[in-house]
Amino acid sequence: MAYGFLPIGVMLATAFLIPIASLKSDRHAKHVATAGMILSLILTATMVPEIFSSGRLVFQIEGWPAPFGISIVLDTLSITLVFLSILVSLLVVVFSYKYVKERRTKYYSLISLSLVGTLGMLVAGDLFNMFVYLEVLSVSSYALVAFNKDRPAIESGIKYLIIGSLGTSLVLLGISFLYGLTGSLNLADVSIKLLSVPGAAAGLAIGLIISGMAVKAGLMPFHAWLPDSYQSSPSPISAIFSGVTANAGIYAIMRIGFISLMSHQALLGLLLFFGLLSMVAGAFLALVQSNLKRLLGYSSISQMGYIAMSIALGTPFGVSAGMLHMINQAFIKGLLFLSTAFIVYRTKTDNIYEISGNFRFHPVVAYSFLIGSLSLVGVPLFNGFVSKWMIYMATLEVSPVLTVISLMVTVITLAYILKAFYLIFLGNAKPDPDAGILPLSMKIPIIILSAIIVAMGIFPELSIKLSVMMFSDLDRFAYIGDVLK
Amino acid sequence: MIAYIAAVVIAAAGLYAVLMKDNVIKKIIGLSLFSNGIHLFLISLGYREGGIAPIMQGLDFMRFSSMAVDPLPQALVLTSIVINLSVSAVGLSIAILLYREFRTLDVRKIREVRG
Repeated sequence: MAYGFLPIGVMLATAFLIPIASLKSDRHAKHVATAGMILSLILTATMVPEIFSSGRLVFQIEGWPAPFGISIVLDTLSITLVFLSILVSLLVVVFSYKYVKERRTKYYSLISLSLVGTLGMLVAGDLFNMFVYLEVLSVSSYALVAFNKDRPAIESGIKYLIIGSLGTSLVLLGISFLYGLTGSLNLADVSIKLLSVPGAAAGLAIGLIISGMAVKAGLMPFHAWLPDSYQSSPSPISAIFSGVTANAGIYAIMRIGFISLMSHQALLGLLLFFGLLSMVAGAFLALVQSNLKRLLGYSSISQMGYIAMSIALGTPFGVSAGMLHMINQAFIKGLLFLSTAFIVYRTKTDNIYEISGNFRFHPVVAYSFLIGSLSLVGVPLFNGFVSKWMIYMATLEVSPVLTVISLMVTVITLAYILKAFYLIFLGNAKPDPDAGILPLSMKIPIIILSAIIVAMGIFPELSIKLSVMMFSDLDRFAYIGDVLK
Repeated sequence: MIAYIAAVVIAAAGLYAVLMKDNVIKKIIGLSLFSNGIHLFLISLGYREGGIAPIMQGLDFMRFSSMAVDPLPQALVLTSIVINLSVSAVGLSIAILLYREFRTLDVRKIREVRG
């Protein structure tokens, strides 16, 4: 395994093979994208046993030793998120077969590129590579938001571009501060050298990076692009944004925050503030939306808030709970956005009140949306319950006030998602001749995601064990030891 | 020292343009300026008065390490300039679409998407 991490190369090749394969007609774009993602998924799966047995795999590109060369670091945390990202992207691509009818070449090519960016961020062992992949992810996301080329899409695209570029510039500024302070970019090397650097200067640098990454994750003071982008981009893309892109942002916050300054209280306080604000305000704003995609966008902000808050607790239990919630959210939001995409595909509108009472939907979509909603709220037997329960317990250890806030936000979650469910699926009695429509390529991803959600809810031991293993990967000194050897 | 001051001034001008100007093109120029300020800062970190190019041939290590400029920031800035170019390209192409659809580049008049 001297080649490093192959799935990135595979997806990069896929992204550029798609335009070549569709020179004459774009019929085969989707097949190339699917094949590339399945190949990356298999390649990732072959690495999993090795990583679970040895703990951490470190590749040095071209054999240059760690502080000088480029390191690729794969541990349980990153491989889980890599697997998750490829899986969600694959399901979204399969779902898009029937959904996207024009300019398919660009669509699949951009999805592949954004996956390249995500994978690169998840496995990069140094700050600058992380930044470069962040930009790959960002630029393809800007284009994806504006993909529809109608007025809302263009407006949201330019908004996302301006806010997102400011965010990535902040990341670059933070990285250059860190380079000035430590003279190194390798995360492990930076981590050692930060031990002898004054806390305030390092805190400023890391704070800048965290703020920049929070734009990607959609945390509250940096969220302004998110609802608009979710509303105006093609609906399956929202599933990628909230299931893949946002996780990459949270991952970067965790990795950089914990590897370099785990004990810095001010940073944890900052993250806690972002988290609480997103949680509460996101839920309240979701309550008043009449646009389904926008509602789910605010809901994403709120759930990202849960994740950031429980990571900011800093206790082993809290951080594991946050990470588990991150995995669960990817599936839940993936399912909800794909169901929404079908609703939009069928009704040609995303206004809840216009849909209400005028359409009947295929039962698979109705039940999937219900499963997604219940899991989002955190009802037992669904995976959302497991992680939310862990979050309640973890906050109880630190401060009961946080538990009360989390519980109250859960109640608001129940209110807004059940309002949407009720209006869309229960508010009609009219017979509808098209009620049986549900193409097979849309049915399969929805059923797979629902099955994963229920399975992870009924058998929680495995995912809890996984989240504890993922937490142990954040240990600063073990990371330094493994990377620098 | 003058380079650092220039970096701060350029970045501040860029940030001002992004935040305060209403024209989309000016905002995109501001984004470029902001990152160019950061680039100047980054490259100043590796600069050394009277330094030599970091080629070790024919020099012993002590002399090399006391004279050569740091090449890493230059590599980073080159990469970052290319990235910045692509962001500007995407931004300007969206701005063209924006003008075609809305017949204006004033962000105060572009308010379609709302809850």
